[in-house]
Amino acid sequence: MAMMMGNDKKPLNGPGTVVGVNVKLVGTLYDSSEIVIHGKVEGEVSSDKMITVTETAFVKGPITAETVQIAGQANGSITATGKLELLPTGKVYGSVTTKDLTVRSGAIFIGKSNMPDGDKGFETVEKENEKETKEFEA
Amino acid sequence: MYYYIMETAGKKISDQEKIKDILGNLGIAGETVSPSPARTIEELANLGIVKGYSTIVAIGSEKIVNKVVTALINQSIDKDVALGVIPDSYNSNLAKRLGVIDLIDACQALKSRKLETIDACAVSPNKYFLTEATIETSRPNEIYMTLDSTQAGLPFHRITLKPGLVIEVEDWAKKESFFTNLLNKILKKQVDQKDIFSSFFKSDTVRFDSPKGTLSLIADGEIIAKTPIIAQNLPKALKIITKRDTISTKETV
Repeated sequence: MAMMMGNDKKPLNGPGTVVGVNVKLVGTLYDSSEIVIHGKVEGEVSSDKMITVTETAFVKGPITAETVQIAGQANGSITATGKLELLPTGKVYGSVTTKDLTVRSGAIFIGKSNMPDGDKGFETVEKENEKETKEFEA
Repeated sequence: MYYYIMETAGKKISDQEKIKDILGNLGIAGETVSPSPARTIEELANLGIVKGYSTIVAIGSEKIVNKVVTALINQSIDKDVALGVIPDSYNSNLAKRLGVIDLIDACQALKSRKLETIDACAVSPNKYFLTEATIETSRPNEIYMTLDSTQAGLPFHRITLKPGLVIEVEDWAKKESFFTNLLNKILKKQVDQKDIFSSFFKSDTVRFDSPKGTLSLIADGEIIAKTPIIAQNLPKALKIITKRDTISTKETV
Protein backbone atom coordinates (compact mmCIF):
# COMPACT_ATOMS: atom_id res chain seq x y z
CA MET A 1 0.00 0.00 0.00
CA ALA A 2 1.44 3.28 -0.92
CA MET A 3 0.07 6.63 -1.77
CA MET A 4 1.35 10.09 -2.24
CA MET A 5 -0.78 13.14 -2.59
CA GLY A 6 -0.07 16.48 -4.17
CA ASN A 7 2.64 17.24 -6.67
CA ASP A 8 5.45 15.33 -4.96
CA LYS A 9 5.23 12.05 -6.84
CA LYS A 10 7.75 10.14 -4.76
CA PRO A 11 7.22 6.42 -5.30
CA LEU A 12 6.44 4.28 -2.27
CA ASN A 13 6.22 0.52 -2.36
CA GLY A 14 3.38 -1.51 -0.93
CA PRO A 15 0.25 -3.48 -1.68
CA GLY A 16 -1.89 -0.54 -2.83
CA THR A 17 -4.29 2.28 -2.11
CA VAL A 18 -7.99 1.68 -1.63
CA VAL A 19 -10.63 4.42 -1.59
CA GLY A 20 -13.74 3.16 0.19
CA VAL A 21 -17.23 3.50 -1.24
CA ASN A 22 -18.31 6.31 1.10
CA VAL A 23 -15.10 8.30 0.74
CA LYS A 24 -14.96 11.52 -1.23
CA LEU A 25 -11.43 12.53 -2.10
CA VAL A 26 -10.33 15.75 -3.77
CA GLY A 27 -6.75 16.09 -5.05
CA THR A 28 -4.05 14.08 -6.74
CA LEU A 29 -3.86 10.39 -5.99
CA TYR A 30 -0.65 8.56 -6.84
CA ASP A 31 0.59 5.12 -5.95
CA SER A 32 3.51 3.15 -7.29
CA SER A 33 1.37 0.09 -6.61
CA GLU A 34 -2.28 -0.71 -7.39
CA ILE A 35 -5.12 1.74 -6.75
CA VAL A 36 -8.69 0.55 -6.24
CA ILE A 37 -11.44 3.18 -6.17
CA HIS A 38 -14.89 2.39 -4.80
CA GLY A 39 -15.77 5.98 -3.86
CA LYS A 40 -15.56 9.45 -5.42
CA VAL A 41 -12.32 11.04 -6.55
CA GLU A 42 -11.99 14.49 -8.05
CA GLY A 43 -8.50 14.99 -9.43
CA GLU A 44 -5.69 13.17 -11.17
CA VAL A 45 -5.26 9.47 -10.43
CA SER A 46 -2.06 7.72 -11.45
CA SER A 47 -0.32 4.45 -10.71
CA ASP A 48 2.76 2.65 -12.00
CA LYS A 49 0.75 -0.57 -12.07
CA MET A 50 -3.03 -0.86 -12.12
CA ILE A 51 -6.06 1.32 -11.44
CA THR A 52 -9.45 -0.25 -10.87
CA VAL A 53 -12.54 1.96 -10.91
CA THR A 54 -15.23 -0.28 -9.47
CA GLU A 55 -18.98 -0.22 -10.09
CA THR A 56 -19.68 2.19 -7.25
CA ALA A 57 -16.86 4.61 -8.14
CA PHE A 58 -16.88 8.00 -9.80
CA VAL A 59 -13.67 9.62 -10.97
CA LYS A 60 -13.52 13.14 -12.36
CA GLY A 61 -10.04 13.76 -13.73
CA PRO A 62 -7.30 12.12 -15.79
CA ILE A 63 -6.35 8.50 -15.08
CA THR A 64 -2.91 7.13 -15.93
CA ALA A 65 -1.58 3.61 -15.28
CA GLU A 66 -0.13 0.57 -16.94
CA THR A 67 -3.46 -1.27 -16.71
CA VAL A 68 -6.83 0.42 -16.20
CA GLN A 69 -10.11 -1.33 -15.53
CA ILE A 70 -13.33 0.69 -15.49
CA ALA A 71 -16.56 -0.68 -14.04
CA GLY A 72 -17.77 2.65 -12.67
CA GLN A 73 -17.82 6.14 -14.15
CA ALA A 74 -14.77 8.06 -15.32
CA ASN A 75 -15.02 11.62 -16.59
CA GLY A 76 -11.67 12.61 -18.08
CA SER A 77 -8.88 11.24 -20.19
CA ILE A 78 -7.50 7.74 -19.57
CA THR A 79 -3.99 6.67 -20.52
CA ALA A 80 -3.11 3.00 -20.13
CA THR A 81 0.40 2.09 -21.28
CA GLY A 82 -0.58 -1.58 -21.16
CA LYS A 83 -4.26 -2.43 -21.25
CA LEU A 84 -7.56 -0.61 -20.82
CA GLU A 85 -10.74 -2.52 -20.18
CA LEU A 86 -14.26 -1.10 -20.00
CA LEU A 87 -16.50 -3.55 -18.20
CA PRO A 88 -20.26 -3.83 -18.93
CA THR A 89 -21.12 -1.35 -16.16
CA GLY A 90 -18.32 1.06 -17.09
CA LYS A 91 -18.94 4.61 -18.35
CA VAL A 92 -16.16 6.71 -19.81
CA TYR A 93 -16.62 10.31 -20.89
CA GLY A 94 -13.27 11.44 -22.29
CA SER A 95 -10.49 10.37 -24.59
CA VAL A 96 -8.64 7.12 -24.06
CA THR A 97 -5.08 6.24 -25.06
CA THR A 98 -3.91 2.65 -25.06
CA LYS A 99 -2.37 -0.03 -27.20
CA ASP A 100 -4.87 -2.63 -25.99
CA LEU A 101 -8.52 -1.59 -25.61
CA THR A 102 -11.37 -3.88 -24.62
CA VAL A 103 -14.93 -2.57 -24.49
CA ARG A 104 -17.38 -5.07 -23.08
CA SER A 105 -20.99 -5.18 -24.21
CA GLY A 106 -23.03 -2.66 -22.23
CA ALA A 107 -20.17 -0.26 -21.53
CA ILE A 108 -20.60 3.41 -22.44
CA PHE A 109 -17.72 5.21 -24.09
CA ILE A 110 -18.11 8.76 -25.30
CA GLY A 111 -14.84 10.25 -26.49
CA LYS A 112 -11.87 9.75 -28.73
CA SER A 113 -9.79 6.58 -28.83
CA ASN A 114 -6.08 6.81 -29.56
CA MET A 115 -3.84 3.87 -30.28
CA PRO A 116 -0.26 5.10 -30.17
CA ASP A 117 2.63 3.36 -31.85
CA GLY A 118 5.45 2.94 -29.29
CA ASP A 119 6.38 5.19 -26.33
CA LYS A 120 6.83 8.29 -28.52
CA GLY A 121 3.29 7.83 -29.69
CA PHE A 122 2.14 7.85 -26.04
CA GLU A 123 3.98 11.11 -25.38
CA THR A 124 2.40 12.82 -28.38
CA VAL A 125 -1.08 11.58 -27.52
CA GLU A 126 -0.66 12.50 -23.85
CA LYS A 127 0.10 16.10 -24.85
CA GLU A 128 -3.01 16.16 -26.97
CA ASN A 129 -5.01 14.63 -24.12
CA GLU A 130 -3.75 17.28 -21.69
CA LYS A 131 -5.08 19.97 -24.01
CA GLU A 132 -8.39 18.16 -24.30
CA THR A 133 -8.63 17.67 -20.53
CA LYS A 134 -8.12 21.39 -19.98
CA GLU A 135 -10.83 22.12 -22.52
CA PHE A 136 -13.06 19.49 -20.90
CA GLU A 137 -12.54 20.98 -17.42
CA ALA A 138 -13.12 24.50 -18.74
CA MET B 1 25.85 -0.76 28.93
CA TYR B 2 22.22 -1.90 29.44
CA TYR B 3 19.68 0.24 31.27
CA TYR B 4 16.39 -1.51 32.00
CA ILE B 5 13.12 0.30 32.63
CA MET B 6 10.73 -2.25 34.06
CA GLU B 7 6.99 -1.70 34.22
CA THR B 8 5.98 -3.09 37.60
CA ALA B 9 2.23 -2.46 37.49
CA GLY B 10 0.42 -5.76 37.08
CA LYS B 11 3.67 -7.72 37.15
CA LYS B 12 4.45 -10.21 39.93
CA ILE B 13 7.69 -9.76 41.89
CA SER B 14 8.62 -13.33 40.98
CA ASP B 15 8.28 -12.46 37.27
CA GLN B 16 10.47 -9.40 37.74
CA GLU B 17 13.10 -11.52 39.50
CA LYS B 18 12.86 -14.13 36.77
CA ILE B 19 13.66 -11.53 34.10
CA LYS B 20 16.61 -10.24 36.15
CA ASP B 21 17.89 -13.82 36.62
CA ILE B 22 17.73 -14.58 32.88
CA LEU B 23 19.51 -11.31 32.03
CA GLY B 24 22.16 -12.06 34.69
CA ASN B 25 22.69 -15.59 33.38
CA LEU B 26 23.15 -14.23 29.87
CA GLY B 27 25.72 -11.74 31.17
CA ILE B 28 23.72 -8.66 30.20
CA ALA B 29 22.54 -7.52 33.62
CA GLY B 30 22.52 -3.77 34.08
CA GLU B 31 20.89 -1.00 36.04
CA THR B 32 17.19 -1.71 36.50
CA VAL B 33 14.72 1.03 37.36
CA SER B 34 10.95 1.17 37.67
CA PRO B 35 8.56 4.08 37.25
CA SER B 36 6.92 5.53 40.32
CA PRO B 37 4.77 8.57 41.13
CA ALA B 38 8.06 10.42 41.69
CA ARG B 39 9.76 9.32 38.46
CA THR B 40 7.87 8.86 35.20
CA ILE B 41 8.94 6.50 32.43
CA GLU B 42 10.09 9.45 30.30
CA GLU B 43 12.17 10.85 33.18
CA LEU B 44 13.78 7.48 33.78
CA ALA B 45 14.59 7.10 30.09
CA ASN B 46 16.10 10.59 30.00
CA LEU B 47 18.18 9.70 33.06
CA GLY B 48 19.51 6.61 31.31
CA ILE B 49 20.51 8.69 28.28
CA VAL B 50 22.21 11.30 30.50
CA LYS B 51 24.08 8.54 32.33
CA GLY B 52 25.51 7.49 28.99
CA TYR B 53 23.93 4.07 28.56
CA SER B 54 24.10 2.83 24.98
CA THR B 55 21.03 0.61 25.29
CA ILE B 56 17.76 1.47 26.99
CA VAL B 57 15.53 -1.57 27.41
CA ALA B 58 11.78 -1.19 27.96
CA ILE B 59 10.27 -4.15 29.84
CA GLY B 60 6.48 -4.29 29.71
CA SER B 61 3.54 -3.17 27.61
CA GLU B 62 3.54 -1.18 24.39
CA LYS B 63 2.64 1.85 26.51
CA ILE B 64 6.04 1.82 28.25
CA VAL B 65 7.77 1.13 24.93
CA ASN B 66 6.10 4.15 23.30
CA LYS B 67 7.09 6.37 26.23
CA VAL B 68 10.71 5.23 26.05
CA VAL B 69 10.63 5.77 22.28
CA THR B 70 9.34 9.32 22.87
CA ALA B 71 12.23 10.02 25.27
CA LEU B 72 14.82 8.47 22.97
CA ILE B 73 13.71 10.41 19.90
CA ASN B 74 13.36 13.67 21.82
CA GLN B 75 16.61 13.41 23.77
CA SER B 76 19.09 11.27 21.91
CA ILE B 77 19.15 13.00 18.54
CA ASP B 78 22.96 13.23 18.50
CA LYS B 79 23.60 10.19 20.68
CA ASP B 80 23.89 6.62 19.55
CA VAL B 81 21.37 5.02 21.90
CA ALA B 82 19.58 1.81 20.93
CA LEU B 83 16.19 0.60 22.15
CA GLY B 84 15.72 -2.92 23.46
CA VAL B 85 12.34 -4.43 24.29
CA ILE B 86 11.18 -7.28 26.48
CA PRO B 87 7.45 -7.29 25.71
CA ASP B 88 4.86 -8.56 28.16
CA SER B 89 2.81 -10.13 25.38
CA TYR B 90 4.35 -12.27 22.68
CA ASN B 91 1.20 -12.13 20.55
CA SER B 92 1.53 -8.37 20.23
CA ASN B 93 2.40 -6.59 17.00
CA LEU B 94 5.57 -5.32 18.62
CA ALA B 95 6.77 -8.82 19.56
CA LYS B 96 6.04 -9.99 16.03
CA ARG B 97 7.94 -7.02 14.64
CA LEU B 98 10.94 -7.85 16.82
CA GLY B 99 10.69 -11.51 15.89
CA VAL B 100 10.71 -12.74 19.50
CA ILE B 101 8.47 -15.57 20.66
CA ASP B 102 9.01 -15.72 24.43
CA LEU B 103 10.89 -14.17 27.34
CA ILE B 104 14.09 -16.16 26.85
CA ASP B 105 14.03 -15.41 23.13
CA ALA B 106 13.63 -11.67 23.85
CA CYS B 107 16.54 -11.72 26.34
CA GLN B 108 18.77 -13.65 23.95
CA ALA B 109 17.94 -11.11 21.23
CA LEU B 110 19.19 -8.37 23.57
CA LYS B 111 22.43 -10.26 24.06
CA SER B 112 23.03 -10.91 20.36
CA ARG B 113 22.34 -7.21 19.78
CA LYS B 114 21.36 -7.08 16.15
CA LEU B 115 20.47 -3.47 15.44
CA GLU B 116 17.86 -2.47 12.95
CA THR B 117 16.93 1.09 12.03
CA ILE B 118 13.18 1.49 11.99
CA ASP B 119 10.56 4.11 11.25
CA ALA B 120 8.40 5.64 13.96
CA CYS B 121 5.18 7.61 13.84
CA ALA B 122 5.28 11.06 15.39
CA VAL B 123 2.16 12.76 16.66
CA SER B 124 2.25 16.49 17.31
CA PRO B 125 3.54 17.98 19.47
CA ASN B 126 6.00 15.32 20.68
CA LYS B 127 4.55 11.83 21.05
CA TYR B 128 5.81 8.79 19.18
CA PHE B 129 4.68 5.24 18.68
CA LEU B 130 6.11 2.13 17.04
CA THR B 131 3.20 -0.21 16.55
CA GLU B 132 -0.23 1.28 16.01
CA ALA B 133 -2.65 3.90 17.25
CA THR B 134 -6.38 4.12 16.67
CA ILE B 135 -9.21 6.62 16.54
CA GLU B 136 -12.50 4.93 17.37
CA THR B 137 -16.05 6.12 17.65
CA SER B 138 -19.08 4.42 19.15
CA ARG B 139 -21.55 6.13 16.82
CA PRO B 140 -21.50 7.03 13.10
CA ASN B 141 -19.03 9.83 12.63
CA GLU B 142 -17.08 11.60 9.93
CA ILE B 143 -13.51 12.82 9.90
CA TYR B 144 -11.60 14.97 7.45
CA MET B 145 -8.23 13.64 6.44
CA THR B 146 -5.64 15.86 4.77
CA LEU B 147 -2.64 14.35 3.03
CA ASP B 148 -0.41 17.12 1.68
CA SER B 149 -2.79 19.31 -0.34
CA THR B 150 -5.50 16.68 -0.73
CA GLN B 151 -8.53 16.29 1.50
CA ALA B 152 -10.89 13.39 2.00
CA GLY B 153 -14.13 13.12 3.94
CA LEU B 154 -14.28 9.75 5.67
CA PRO B 155 -17.25 8.17 7.42
CA PHE B 156 -15.65 5.77 9.90
CA HIS B 157 -15.87 3.79 13.06
CA ARG B 158 -12.16 3.02 13.39
CA ILE B 159 -9.02 4.53 11.91
CA THR B 160 -5.72 2.75 12.53
CA LEU B 161 -2.33 4.36 12.02
CA LYS B 162 0.44 1.83 11.48
CA PRO B 163 4.23 2.06 11.10
CA GLY B 164 5.28 3.82 7.92
CA LEU B 165 2.13 5.91 8.37
CA VAL B 166 -0.19 3.41 6.78
CA ILE B 167 -3.75 4.63 7.37
CA GLU B 168 -6.50 2.04 7.53
CA VAL B 169 -10.05 3.38 7.65
CA GLU B 170 -12.95 1.15 8.60
CA ASP B 171 -16.30 2.56 7.62
CA TRP B 172 -19.28 2.50 9.97
CA ALA B 173 -21.28 0.90 7.16
CA LYS B 174 -18.87 -2.05 7.29
CA LYS B 175 -19.60 -2.50 10.98
CA GLU B 176 -23.30 -2.49 10.19
CA SER B 177 -22.73 -4.88 7.33
CA PHE B 178 -20.91 -7.18 9.77
CA PHE B 179 -24.22 -7.79 11.52
CA THR B 180 -25.96 -8.15 8.15
CA ASN B 181 -23.32 -10.67 7.13
CA LEU B 182 -23.78 -12.52 10.40
CA LEU B 183 -27.53 -12.61 9.85
CA ASN B 184 -27.01 -13.80 6.30
CA LYS B 185 -24.67 -16.49 7.61
CA ILE B 186 -27.28 -17.64 10.12
CA LEU B 187 -29.94 -17.60 7.40
CA LYS B 188 -27.39 -19.29 5.11
CA LYS B 189 -27.78 -16.63 2.44
CA GLN B 190 -25.06 -16.43 -0.17
CA VAL B 191 -23.72 -12.88 -0.39
CA ASP B 192 -20.78 -11.18 -2.03
CA GLN B 193 -18.10 -10.82 0.67
CA LYS B 194 -16.08 -8.13 -1.12
CA ASP B 195 -15.25 -5.27 1.24
CA ILE B 196 -15.89 -1.98 -0.51
CA PHE B 197 -16.11 0.07 2.68
CA SER B 198 -12.55 0.01 4.01
CA SER B 199 -9.92 2.44 2.77
CA PHE B 200 -6.12 2.24 2.85
CA PHE B 201 -3.70 5.10 2.36
CA LYS B 202 -0.05 5.81 2.95
CA SER B 203 1.60 9.17 3.28
CA ASP B 204 4.46 10.95 5.01
CA THR B 205 2.12 13.25 6.92
CA VAL B 206 -1.56 13.24 7.73
CA ARG B 207 -3.92 15.61 9.51
CA PHE B 208 -7.28 14.64 10.95
CA ASP B 209 -10.03 17.15 11.76
CA SER B 210 -13.32 16.15 13.30
CA PRO B 211 -16.20 18.55 12.68
CA LYS B 212 -18.50 16.67 15.07
CA GLY B 213 -16.60 17.03 18.34
CA THR B 214 -13.20 16.00 19.61
CA LEU B 215 -11.80 12.55 18.86
CA SER B 216 -8.86 10.85 20.57
CA LEU B 217 -5.92 8.95 19.14
CA ILE B 218 -5.20 6.01 21.41
CA ALA B 219 -2.06 3.88 21.59
CA ASP B 220 -2.17 0.85 23.89
CA GLY B 221 -5.07 2.24 25.93
CA GLU B 222 -3.56 5.68 26.39
CA ILE B 223 -4.73 8.89 24.72
CA ILE B 224 -1.74 10.37 22.92
CA ALA B 225 -3.49 13.14 20.97
CA LYS B 226 -6.85 14.75 20.33
CA THR B 227 -8.21 16.25 17.12
CA PRO B 228 -6.93 18.12 15.25
CA ILE B 229 -4.29 15.39 15.02
CA ILE B 230 -1.15 15.73 12.92
CA ALA B 231 0.85 12.54 12.44
CA GLN B 232 4.09 12.13 10.57
CA ASN B 233 6.23 9.22 9.49
CA LEU B 234 9.78 9.48 10.79
CA PRO B 235 11.94 7.29 8.58
CA LYS B 236 14.91 5.60 10.27
CA ALA B 237 14.05 7.31 13.53
CA LEU B 238 15.38 4.74 15.93
CA LYS B 239 17.80 1.86 16.34
CA ILE B 240 16.09 -1.15 17.83
CA ILE B 241 17.43 -4.56 18.86
CA THR B 242 15.75 -7.39 16.99
CA LYS B 243 16.20 -11.13 16.91
CA ARG B 244 19.29 -12.14 14.96
CA ASP B 245 17.53 -14.29 12.39
CA THR B 246 14.77 -11.74 11.77
CA ILE B 247 14.61 -10.72 8.15
CA SER B 248 15.73 -7.14 7.90
CA THR B 249 16.11 -4.64 5.12
CA LYS B 250 17.83 -1.88 7.10
CA GLU B 251 20.48 -3.60 9.15
CA THR B 252 23.08 -1.24 10.61
CA VAL B 253 25.34 -3.61 12.58
